[in-house]
Amino acid sequence: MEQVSQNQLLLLFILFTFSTLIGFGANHLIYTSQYDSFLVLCISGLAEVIFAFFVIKLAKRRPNKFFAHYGKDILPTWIHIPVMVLYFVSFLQISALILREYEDFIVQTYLPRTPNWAVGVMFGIVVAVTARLGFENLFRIAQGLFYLCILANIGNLALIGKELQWNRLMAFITNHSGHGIYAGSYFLIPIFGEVLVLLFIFPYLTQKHKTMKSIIWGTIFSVLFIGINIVWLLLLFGPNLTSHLTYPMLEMIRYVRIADFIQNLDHLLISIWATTVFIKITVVFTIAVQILTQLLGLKDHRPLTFSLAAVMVALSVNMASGSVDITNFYTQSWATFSYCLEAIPLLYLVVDTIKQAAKKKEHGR
Amino acid sequence: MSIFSKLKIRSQDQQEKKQKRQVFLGEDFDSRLEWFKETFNQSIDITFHELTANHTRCGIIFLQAMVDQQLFDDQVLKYIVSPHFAESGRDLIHKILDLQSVSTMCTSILTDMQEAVDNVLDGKVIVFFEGDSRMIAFPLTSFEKRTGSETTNENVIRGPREAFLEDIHTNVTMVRRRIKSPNLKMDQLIIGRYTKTKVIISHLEGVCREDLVEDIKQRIGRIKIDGVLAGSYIEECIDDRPLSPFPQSQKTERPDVAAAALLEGRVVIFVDGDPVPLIAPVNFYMFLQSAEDYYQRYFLTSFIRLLRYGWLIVSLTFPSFYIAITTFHPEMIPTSLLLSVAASRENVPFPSIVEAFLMEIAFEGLREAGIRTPKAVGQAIGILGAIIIGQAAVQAGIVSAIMVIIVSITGIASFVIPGYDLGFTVRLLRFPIMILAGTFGIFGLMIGTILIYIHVVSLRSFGLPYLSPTAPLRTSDLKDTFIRVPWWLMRTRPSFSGSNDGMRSNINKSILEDDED
Repeated sequence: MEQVSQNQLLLLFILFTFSTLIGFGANHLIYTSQYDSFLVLCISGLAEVIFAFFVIKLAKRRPNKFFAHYGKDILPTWIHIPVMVLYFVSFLQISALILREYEDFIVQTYLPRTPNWAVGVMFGIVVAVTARLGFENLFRIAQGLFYLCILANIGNLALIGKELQWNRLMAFITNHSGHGIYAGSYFLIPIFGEVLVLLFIFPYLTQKHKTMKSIIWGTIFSVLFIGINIVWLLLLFGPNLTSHLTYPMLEMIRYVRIADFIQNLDHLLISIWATTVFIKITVVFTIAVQILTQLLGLKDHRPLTFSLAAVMVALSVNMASGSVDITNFYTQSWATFSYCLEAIPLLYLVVDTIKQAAKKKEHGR
Repeated sequence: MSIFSKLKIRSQDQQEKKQKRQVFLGEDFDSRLEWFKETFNQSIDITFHELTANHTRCGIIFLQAMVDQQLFDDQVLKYIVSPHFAESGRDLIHKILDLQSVSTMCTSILTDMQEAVDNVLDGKVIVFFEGDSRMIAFPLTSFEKRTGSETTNENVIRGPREAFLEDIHTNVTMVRRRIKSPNLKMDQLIIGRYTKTKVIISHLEGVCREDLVEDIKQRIGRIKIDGVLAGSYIEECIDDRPLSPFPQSQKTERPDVAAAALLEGRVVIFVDGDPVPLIAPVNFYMFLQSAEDYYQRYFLTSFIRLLRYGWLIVSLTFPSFYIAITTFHPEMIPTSLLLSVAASRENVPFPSIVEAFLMEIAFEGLREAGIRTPKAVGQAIGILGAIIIGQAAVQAGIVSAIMVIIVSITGIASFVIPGYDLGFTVRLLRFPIMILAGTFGIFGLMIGTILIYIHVVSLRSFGLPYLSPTAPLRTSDLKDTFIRVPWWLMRTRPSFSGSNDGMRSNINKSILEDDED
């Protein structure tokens, strides 16, 4: 079962955090934190590492078992099963949410006359095919795409360099707001907290003792890559314009012009970035499929993938009446919902620790 | 597996067992001769010869066109009929069957009639005597075969030009001549219920993983088929994913490529009658390597390899990219270029996807016709293609000039890929991507590319991930993937080999520099 190397885990985590935050979350982050955005990123990164420490601690206690299976030993079955059902629904919901954001983005920007469902179905097929192949191949796919995505991003940042207003750099030192840091962190920590998925993929990892190290490095690189993009956005558009743009990253890419010949590279770069979104949706979706497989006691997850992918696509098309609904959910309810979801493993860890301590006491007697 | 296919396999196995059943007819000469004649009835190419030597009846059976009769006369028959060779019939049988006092090597003694039949069909001469149930087989096989030829498909400017032939033993010798080591192992299997084709699996012991050899042997051993006439019969039966369009084993007509594969720890499968042996395992990048890469200087080679990767992308996506930007994203191209594209498409009645399909299919037809046409009319095809499809179609306003350029560039790109199999696969995959690009623009192109990428990542060739050494990443193997580093830096063997030390060379660059001084 141990097929995913630590290097693959590291690369996937960078893509995982990078993808949606850069594409869909940048404007809200800059809206709340302005020039403190980079600081907020660092705080969230630190929170991620701390949270990951507890998740790994829980996972390490039964390194080769799945959470859906061993959770029963920690909490009573009548609590554990509803919790796992909640996780299944939530992961399916999250994958549908990201898919919806992506559908809206593509339809609004490039394919105005194409219905949402057509884009959703196309993407859903790719996600289902990948999920069917399992985690080993998914991590390998991410490994190959990582270099392409990062190279494209670095190339983009380098080409945009001459357009930046460097005098704005001073604001990073002078402009601070306590509320901005608080509000930004509250919004951003749950996004980094998605490291929770580690709990579900832990049995697939090789060299499990190095997981914490991989997460730390993954966080450092994520903060660095995302941070540079955020700083570039601030230097290019300033905080007010950025927070009013729906897709600031897209607008930044549109500034790239090579030798006045290739005018709009955005399609190409966006399609490369889209692969990172695809990775994120697939990871979350595959976990949902795996949870259901384990709950139903099936040996193989493959028969479920296409039917669940259809549910995901249907959910993505019908979950909101428009992109305003999605934005409202994302900015108002998402963070709190995520905190609840991410706190559950901590509850399991506390109960497990108490149980173990009680057992030790009994043995001592 | 359905119950019907199980029953079918069982009946085939029973049939095979029946065929393999041994036949022993004892010492009686006439009944044996009769049995042979009955077995080989309606076979005019089988020669039955009956003679009496030292008052003992002898029977000789062989395939006329597959035996060197002069050699048989000189080395065998001369002794049998000579009155000085033996004193009596008993002595004659004793000298030939027990002492094997004839000047032919590698003879074998048989008692099973069925085995004797197999030997005759393999080109051996069977001799049997009255009063002894044993038979002797003389390996005097000789038949007309193609003589040494030059490579026709994998051409190089610098490097050997020798190519494999149809005869399996000649092919094996060509490799043996290059690797003079007892570690070069050759295992033979006979595949094909009727053709009984020889299949030789060769590997370099100590360099190749033993479990890989065993796996390949098992996979080939499981093949139950009427006949094997070429390596492709074997290839399709042993692929990891038979439904994949991607080739999962390499083919070569060059003995040096086969030898290099063996030195890397791969397995070479020779099939009798096929001048193109199979090499396994293989990864995606090996199809973009040519034999010439190792005969030219590494700078040049590395540049050409990178060029090939570029052309590979062009071959797969160029028409789709054109369709996507003309249909959905015209703002991507500069205004001046956009105007000239629009001007050239002004009179064309079809949308660009239809236009591209028409041209691509015409090109594929032209290519296929060019391969199959007799040489005498080959030129006519070229003229037809260039004038009718190129010039006249543009003038008639059926296709745009720019589309002709795009199809031509794509055509060139597909032939830059050294692995013909992969080139063909890429040409094939171009069509679904074109449909996706025509319906979803760049987004469709991206979806198509990701689907192909997902498939390729999940593919394995005999256990080796198809996209290794990039996914999963093996940095030590990258030195011979996108570029080729000089030989003095390629110290370790590829990680998929099963060598103990993993060292391929031990050339110290400083020693080389000292020598230069």
